[in-house]
Amino acid sequence: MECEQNEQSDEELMMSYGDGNADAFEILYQRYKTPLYRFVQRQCYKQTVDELFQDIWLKVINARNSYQVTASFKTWLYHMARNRIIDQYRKNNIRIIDNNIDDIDTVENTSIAQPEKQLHTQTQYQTLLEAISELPPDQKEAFLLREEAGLNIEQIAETCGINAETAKSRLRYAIKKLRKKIGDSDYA
Amino acid sequence: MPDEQKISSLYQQGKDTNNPSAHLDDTILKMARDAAEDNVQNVDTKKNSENVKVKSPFSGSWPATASIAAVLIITVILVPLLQQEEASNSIPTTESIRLNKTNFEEDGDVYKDVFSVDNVEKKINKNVMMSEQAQQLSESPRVDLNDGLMYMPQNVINADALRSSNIGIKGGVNSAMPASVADVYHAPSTLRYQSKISTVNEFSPSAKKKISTDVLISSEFSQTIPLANEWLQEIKMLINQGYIEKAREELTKFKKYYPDEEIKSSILDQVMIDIK
Repeated sequence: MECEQNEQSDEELMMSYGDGNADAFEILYQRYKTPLYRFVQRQCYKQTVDELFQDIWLKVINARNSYQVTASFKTWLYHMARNRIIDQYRKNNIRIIDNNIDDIDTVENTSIAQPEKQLHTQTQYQTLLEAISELPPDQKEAFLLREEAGLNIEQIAETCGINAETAKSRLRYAIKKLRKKIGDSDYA
Repeated sequence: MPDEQKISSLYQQGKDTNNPSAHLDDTILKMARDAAEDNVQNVDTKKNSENVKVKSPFSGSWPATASIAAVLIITVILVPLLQQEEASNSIPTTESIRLNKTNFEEDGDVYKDVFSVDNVEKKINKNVMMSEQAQQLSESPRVDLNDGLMYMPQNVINADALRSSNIGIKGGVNSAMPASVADVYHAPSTLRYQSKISTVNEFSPSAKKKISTDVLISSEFSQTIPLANEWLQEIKMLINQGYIEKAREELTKFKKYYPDEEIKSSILDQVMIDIK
């Protein structure tokens, strides 16, 4: 029975959970808890990660009866996570500017301590993580959706409510900035 | 894109094992299980309410079965029993008594009416007339119900007779050819013939009873009321034998039944009455 449930799609499991099958939810949770947790962790302060993570899953639980298969469960899950993170940004008075990709910058970026000073003593991975944390939120979001959630360009666009070209541009700028940071670190 | 693959590879290799804490896992899973149980309870509540409805005494299939069984019992058992009982029951009901009483009263009126002297004479005359009409009708057109045609007697299929009886038959009629009933029905006299036929031949049971009663009354009357001459002879005999009072009574009765009959003055003088 459990084996059959493991082979079920995310959407089938969610529908099954809507019918009262708690085991289906547990399977979904085990599938997505780690990437989703990191997706949240990479975008928020550490002290708020657990709260946001729990809120996102609570939204999933509350939506069990109204859930309909209009998109993939993964896209739907990360769409809710993104909205919850944006709410958190607004709550902390973090201004998100995403209309001009070249000029993207955030209050969060300015509030974070200068990462360049630490790059010399950290590993390349840590350099990468810090570079990710320096990314503008929309670029960071696009990068994390790709690397953590495994979404393609179309799914990223659907999750973020943008067109595919914009998603592709955000991802391209994020890679460019990360490469630059890593290159600078190697160079240093 | 080499840079993209390099960064992606670096990110995937260096993924730390940052996972939510066990406490957070338990909290979220407990919330999920509680919600699922609520769902199940709600569904059970709905099902229970539906089950209550299903188990209500006026639902299910037993009322239909019971109804069919009741109809079968009534049809197969009770109805024949009632019919047998009704047929064998000789005790009149209140309704039948009332109907019989009504019929009796009506018949009583008829009998009372029949016993009056005037009506007896009328009945006798009517019987005679009916006998004559029946005699005539024995020679009148006859409708054969089997082939729907009217067969005319020889004397009726006479041009003069047809004119006198106002029977209009299309295309003329001869004695060998039966006339169509439809053709004859258009003639007014045909209706009269039909009326006569029904008067004589199509008696209802009550009519038959009345006619038989009329015949009986007339025969009884002929037995109890003597003829005028004989009655007068008897009155004379009573006078001769000295029964003057009796003769007077008989003469009074005689005058009542035969008011137009002339009585000899010798008789009237002997009984010493003045009959006007």
